[in-house]
Amino acid sequence: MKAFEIASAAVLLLFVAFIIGAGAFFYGYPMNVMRFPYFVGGFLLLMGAWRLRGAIRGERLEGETEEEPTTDSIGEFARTALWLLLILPAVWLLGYPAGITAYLLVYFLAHGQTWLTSVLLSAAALAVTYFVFIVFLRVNLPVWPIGLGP
Amino acid sequence: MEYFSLLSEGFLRVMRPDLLLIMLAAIPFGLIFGLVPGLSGLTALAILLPFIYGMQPLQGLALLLSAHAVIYTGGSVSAIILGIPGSPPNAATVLDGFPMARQGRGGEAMGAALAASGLGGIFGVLVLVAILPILEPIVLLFGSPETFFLALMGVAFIAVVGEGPMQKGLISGALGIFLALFGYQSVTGVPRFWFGSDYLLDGFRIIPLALGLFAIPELIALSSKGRAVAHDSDESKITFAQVKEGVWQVFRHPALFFKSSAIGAVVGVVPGVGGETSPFVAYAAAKQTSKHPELFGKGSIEGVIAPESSNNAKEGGALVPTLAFGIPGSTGMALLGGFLILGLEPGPEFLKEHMDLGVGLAMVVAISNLFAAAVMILLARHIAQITHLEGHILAPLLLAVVVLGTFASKQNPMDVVYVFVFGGLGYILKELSYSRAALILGFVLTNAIESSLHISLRSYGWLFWMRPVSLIIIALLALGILWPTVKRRMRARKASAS
Repeated sequence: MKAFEIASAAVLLLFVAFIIGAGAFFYGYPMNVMRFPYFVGGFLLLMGAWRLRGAIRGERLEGETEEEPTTDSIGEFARTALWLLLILPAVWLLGYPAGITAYLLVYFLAHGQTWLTSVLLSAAALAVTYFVFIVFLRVNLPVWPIGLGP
Repeated sequence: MEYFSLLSEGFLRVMRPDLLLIMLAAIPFGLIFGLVPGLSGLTALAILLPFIYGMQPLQGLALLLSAHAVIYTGGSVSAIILGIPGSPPNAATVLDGFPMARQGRGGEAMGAALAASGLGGIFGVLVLVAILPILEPIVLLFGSPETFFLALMGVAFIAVVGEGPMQKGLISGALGIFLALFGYQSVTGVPRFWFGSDYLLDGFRIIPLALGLFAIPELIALSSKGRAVAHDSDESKITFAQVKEGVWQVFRHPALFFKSSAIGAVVGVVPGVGGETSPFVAYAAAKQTSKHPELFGKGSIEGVIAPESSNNAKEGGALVPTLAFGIPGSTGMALLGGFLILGLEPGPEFLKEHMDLGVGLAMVVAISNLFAAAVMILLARHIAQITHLEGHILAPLLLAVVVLGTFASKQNPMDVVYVFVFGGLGYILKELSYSRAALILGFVLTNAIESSLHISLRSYGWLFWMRPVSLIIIALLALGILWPTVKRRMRARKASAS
């Protein structure tokens, strides 16, 4: 956890410094555009540096409690995150209604649900997608692969 | 006396069968929009706007207002049972409502949230009705310097007393403000930090940010554990008695309810600040004055009552500047477009000429709140059954709703990608005890903070803070930041002395 704390504080510092640097030197924004970013960025750099120093020294902050981590290991986190992320290529490649249905079917089957449950739930999701989002709300959902539709 | 006859006239005008029917149709619509994460109040209003063409003014506005007034009532249910705020202002309810659901007290949390929402909504309307006649001088006290400090106070309060340590809360709040700096600057129109990306020209969007921060970490937790949100034991079954107990909790905390509703109504009055700030400010105030602040974030009923009371109370307050100055008090008050479609122009003249309509609108909000709370309390038990679904079933289904809801909000596929980007950020913040609520509030209030700072500097120079109301807000801000430390030190001194 200590390494995670250090890394997050360091990434924050780099991110803020990069954005402020880009605004000041790359884009060369005038002062009335950059005044507020300087305030906020300066405050974040100060606080981030303070946090980084505390994290390196292993200081415990007042009010900090030991929380149970969301996942048991990095491997489990990566597996779970990948399963969730899979919905992106699914909707991108198959369009939203078909992509979401296919994603759900594969997810349910891979996580121990029976064929019947998986097919029923995926079909219900397809029906909700169609009737609620396309018919009722008139959302222009991409039905074809994104970038290839009419 | 004349005003009271105006009130009764307004009430009678709303009690017409056609208006009640319109409200009955609009309320379930608003509740569904509140329940589904990603579908915001603005989306609901946008969808309903075309339907008001050709309606009488009160009919059209009743349709918009009753749908809008109950959105946060629906949103509180998703916040509690799924840990995903139905709309951004419900994020404060997640902090204690979701832990309560995980402890098998979801019914109690829902009962408390719904009762607080309904009653808070009515409180807001009472405030509105009471101050409508004396409105102008009050709103005129709040200039740009006051808006700046009030918005800053909202972020600082939640950063200091929200989840996690103060230092991390302040970093989160500032990071939220920083993320909102991308895209067109509202004051000058210059696109900032857009790095050649068309998407970034408009900056990051609130829906992907809110859903990413709050929904994705919960979906990761649900999916990795695979078990239900509530433990499948007898105590976790949601009964009507549990919901009723939650409703009673609001009556057992009258001071908290009135304080939070008053915060909601007052903050709601301030143009551009009300919307998302009031629940967080009410939550922070509740924690500061609670006898058990240590329970906040772990399933405190007070942590549910406070944001929900203020959430709906603010809508009454937000109507004040909308009607009086034509400036929306909350983002949802974009129903201004509705006024224009119906040939009305809100502003000081509107109140002079259409005070009866203003009173009628207040009645619409009150009735909608009561009706929505009653319906949801009756249905709460059934809706809460979702918490007993296996994580491996619930997680992908919710992910589908999140993806669809995000896309539906702006119909931009990139928003869906950003849900996952912010989801990664939300996961890190959650694991390291950074306040996600402070981040979202900072993000939401940046526009108000930056533009009011800009206007203040131009109008008053660097001494813009030397105004009486500003000084009061600054004093409150300082007190809010220092109070937890002072209180802790006093307790430590007392303990060491004894």
